[in-house]
Amino acid sequence: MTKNAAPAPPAIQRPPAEVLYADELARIREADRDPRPPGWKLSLQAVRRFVTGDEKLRVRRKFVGNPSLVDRAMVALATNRGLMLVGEPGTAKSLLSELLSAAISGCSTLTIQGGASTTEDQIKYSWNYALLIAEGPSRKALVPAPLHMGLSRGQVVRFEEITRCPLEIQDSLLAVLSDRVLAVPELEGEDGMLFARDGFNVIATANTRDRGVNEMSSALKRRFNFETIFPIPDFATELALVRDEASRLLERSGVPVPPEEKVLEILVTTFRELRSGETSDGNAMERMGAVLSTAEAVSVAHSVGVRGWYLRQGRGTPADLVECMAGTAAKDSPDDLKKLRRYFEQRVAKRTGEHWRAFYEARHLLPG
Amino acid sequence: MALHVLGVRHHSPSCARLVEAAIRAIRPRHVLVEGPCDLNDRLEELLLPHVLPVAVFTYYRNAGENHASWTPFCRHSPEWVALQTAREIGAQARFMDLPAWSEAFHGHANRYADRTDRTPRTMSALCRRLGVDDSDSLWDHLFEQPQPLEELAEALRIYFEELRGDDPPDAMDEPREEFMADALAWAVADAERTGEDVVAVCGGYHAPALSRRAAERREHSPVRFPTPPEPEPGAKAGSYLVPYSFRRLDSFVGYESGLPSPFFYDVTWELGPEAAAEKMLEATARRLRERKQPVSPADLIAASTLAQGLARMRGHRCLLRQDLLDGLAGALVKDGLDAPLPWSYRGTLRAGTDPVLVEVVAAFSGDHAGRLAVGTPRPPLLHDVQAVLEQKGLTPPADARDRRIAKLDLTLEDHRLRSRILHRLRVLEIPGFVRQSGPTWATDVELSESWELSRPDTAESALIEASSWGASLESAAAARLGSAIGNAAGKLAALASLLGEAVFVGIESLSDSLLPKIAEGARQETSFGELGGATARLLALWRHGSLLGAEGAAAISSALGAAFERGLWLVEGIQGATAPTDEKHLAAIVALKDLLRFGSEPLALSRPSAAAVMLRRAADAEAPPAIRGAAIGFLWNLGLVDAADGEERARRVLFSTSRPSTFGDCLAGLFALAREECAAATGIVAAIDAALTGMGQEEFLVALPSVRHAFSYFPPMEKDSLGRTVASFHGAGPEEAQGLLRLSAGASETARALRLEDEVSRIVERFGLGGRK
Repeated sequence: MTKNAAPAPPAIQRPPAEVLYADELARIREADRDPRPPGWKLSLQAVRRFVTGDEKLRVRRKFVGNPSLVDRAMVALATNRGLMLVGEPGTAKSLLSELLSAAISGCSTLTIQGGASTTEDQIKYSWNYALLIAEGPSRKALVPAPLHMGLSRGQVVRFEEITRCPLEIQDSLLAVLSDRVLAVPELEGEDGMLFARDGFNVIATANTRDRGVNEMSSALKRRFNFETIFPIPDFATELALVRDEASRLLERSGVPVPPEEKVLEILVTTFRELRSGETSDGNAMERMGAVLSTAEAVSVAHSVGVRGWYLRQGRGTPADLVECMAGTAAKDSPDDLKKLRRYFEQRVAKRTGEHWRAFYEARHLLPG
Repeated sequence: MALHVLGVRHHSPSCARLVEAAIRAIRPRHVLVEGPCDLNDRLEELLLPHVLPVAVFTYYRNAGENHASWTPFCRHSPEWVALQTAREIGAQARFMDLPAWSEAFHGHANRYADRTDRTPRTMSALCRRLGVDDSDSLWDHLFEQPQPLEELAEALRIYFEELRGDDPPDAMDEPREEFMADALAWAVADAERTGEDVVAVCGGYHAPALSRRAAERREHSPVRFPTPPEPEPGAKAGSYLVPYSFRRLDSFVGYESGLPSPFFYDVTWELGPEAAAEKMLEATARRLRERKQPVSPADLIAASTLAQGLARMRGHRCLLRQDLLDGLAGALVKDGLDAPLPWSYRGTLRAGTDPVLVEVVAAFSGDHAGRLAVGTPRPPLLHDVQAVLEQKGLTPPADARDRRIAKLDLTLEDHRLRSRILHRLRVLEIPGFVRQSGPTWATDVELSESWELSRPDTAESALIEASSWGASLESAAAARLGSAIGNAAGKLAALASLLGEAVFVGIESLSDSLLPKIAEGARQETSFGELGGATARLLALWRHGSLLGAEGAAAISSALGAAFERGLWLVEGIQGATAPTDEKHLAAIVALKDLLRFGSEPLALSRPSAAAVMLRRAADAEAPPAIRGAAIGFLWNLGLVDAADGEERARRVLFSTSRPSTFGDCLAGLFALAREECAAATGIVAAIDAALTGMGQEEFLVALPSVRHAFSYFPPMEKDSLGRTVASFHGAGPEEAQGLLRLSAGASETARALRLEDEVSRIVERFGLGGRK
């Protein structure tokens, strides 16, 4: 692949990782001297460089977790075990899955989005019914779905939010994961069995908040290696991430001023405290039911900036923050709203500093 | 004729190998080892055939100051290997560091702990560059792989040079490096006379500085081995050998420890890094199966494959510790985790760690315990215990089958001292000292104790084991409880009961270290009832301040402050508009009330914020009725609202909870906090009366149990006068009231009668024989 890989046309809202980072991938591939597992576009070391960054090759660090987690994930994939990324919502599970498949297969779009209405057709294959009726079952009449494509091309298939699917749908993966073959009983002869090409594997993601909704069968669990992704452990890293991402989003929304540092600090502090159930000075609290991920913090920072600019041509204030937080941190749960109020009355009230005061004074903006 | 300074990481097997080879190759005249030089006269004792791990224990005591320090050795300690090899080749071996009782070590419990605080930035930059998680995996990655010793030596030298850079030594290191440099200069000068070499083995961080310093003083080197400063006059200090264990060596267990997973490195030392992995997999599988955690052969194959894959991708020549642990985690964990992998952070295991991982970590840590060789001088603890018991007349009978009972009257000073000694033996778990009865909390009214004393055969070995905690009974008990305090971190109830132990054993320094932890525990406590219990106990101790000593009294104030804050936070979170009365919650509110009453000024507790919380609670329709009643009682009793306002608020809350299912609960809360105020306020009594008479027969029966319970807060006399007041509302005089209050039948019988009456009138009504009353 050359450096002049066509840049994404402006109409695309969100280009996939292999397009967005085409330059980085090309540089990494060029410098890659290590052995590659069969079917992989890059060596393990190169994939790791792509995910965790490499200053020499000017590769941005895209995932801020422990490098050993990325190691384990890659080795699981290279040893033909499925990879299951588990964690709270918004901990960059899907991002990691996208980055890994973009680097390993050069394609991150073989994606199955799990949900209550996901069917086997959407996972394996379906038929072009006009052709099916006219000619009977044939390769031509078969419409491959992501799993079929992944097997035949030797690429990584992503299964997002697998636990949102009903159990029987989840279990349709069993044979493919253990025997690496997909039976197509409608077709005869060779076409009736689709054997996986080298490079095929599955990265699934599951949300810990969904535990118990559609618990996975232990047979399926056995075929995956589990990696739990935890929220970013230190304040500074999270603050930097929120700052960068929010500034980028604001720019795209046409807001010319970056978010105010103090407001971001309050936002990140509050989110971290409510998420972990512990204040920075060691007081425990109840955790919120709502998801308070870094991704949510970014979106709150974004909307705070948008409010500030489009309502007042200024920067977002702590009062904007209260208004925006009411929608994310409390959502529609009166329980969470109560917890949030208590947090304001007993914790925020004790903080000093102009911005914290303003934040506290604006607590009447919480709904109800 | 040269000085070879070998910088090592304590407990590192590859460093141990390097040290052994270097000493054999150089055949130096002197081998100097970082370690307590006060043991130099007794090295023979150290080199007896002990079962490792053992440690040199050092104590220091001086007017209220107490320090204990350990210098642990295991088979793969480079320092230990240096001493052994030196003896084999006939070199003179010496420890060259200050004794652990010198000031530099005060506050440091482990001489060979990793001081990761020294170079955090260099370290994390290096980890980033090499793509490893932390300093432990960095070390393994760089140095614990099989590699030629010359390369290893060179790599270590460069690594430590970079780590140390130009950093000046800190307050702990300066006197030590000064002393060690002197010792080295002496050794070099002495070896020069015969044209021989000197080998020094020390922590890598010191190595570059020691080489430089020793070279600087070549010109005027000391004529004899430096003498360490004596302990100040009046201070007591000494060192002796004690058994140690892998668990105490492991950083997952204690603070201030060194290389993690001692058993893994022990195996690495014994079998070499290539063969260690298999043995560890086997040991881990065995342990997991013993603990009933399922491990299939397929899991083990998967773990091994994963570990090998990881090692290969990380460029390791054999399986290193993290490769193995990661492989095991990948294969054995079959679900999302609630806490991060234990090896991704330092310190004790976090709550919620997967039980499989807990066992994996324990298997890597190993549960070997050391044993002292026969003929090792007995630790001073044995003599101290014997002397103390004799002095206080508490010696158990000589025959193992005999028993002796000691009765103590705790009001007598001398008996209190005896009680403390027995309690200290009890916390050290020395068999033969059993308490049969006595107070359960230091401020209990029971003031006598009874102990059964005997001398079982196991007592002496228990004492030798316990001597690893300290040289005297007092210091050993203090260290033992101190470690229990460390383990109970964040658990308020456990910490509070340890405070009770601290008072029983009469060691002030313990309560000083305990109270900040209690404050921390209070900030973390999630159960309001538990918090209330602990608060009440703390408050009792605070008010009997003499039990804790002056410093304890100051520290307990901050713990109480934290408990108060926490109480206000927790009471605001209790929900449930129809929740029944929780006695523990009411007791906790009472504890908060007492705390504010007695402590608002000396402890600087904020009355306004307490009032704000209670006002919110009283007005909250979703709060349990008992809490609402108690909140009003709190405000009223403490005068946070004036009397008229209190009465008015109480009436309103009673009105809004006047449903039969909630009325009694609200009353209970109100009475628990402000019984006297209610009884004195005729308006409230009238309101209660009106609410009860307003209920139908059936409703009344529903309300009855909780209302009865609420009135049980009144002593009989007050109940009597209440009865009179109520009777007067219904036009009855004092004599008639007497009759109403003293029913010949019991309360439950009356309730049964009421129910029967209700049933009868229902039947009467059904048959059209008359209306209900």
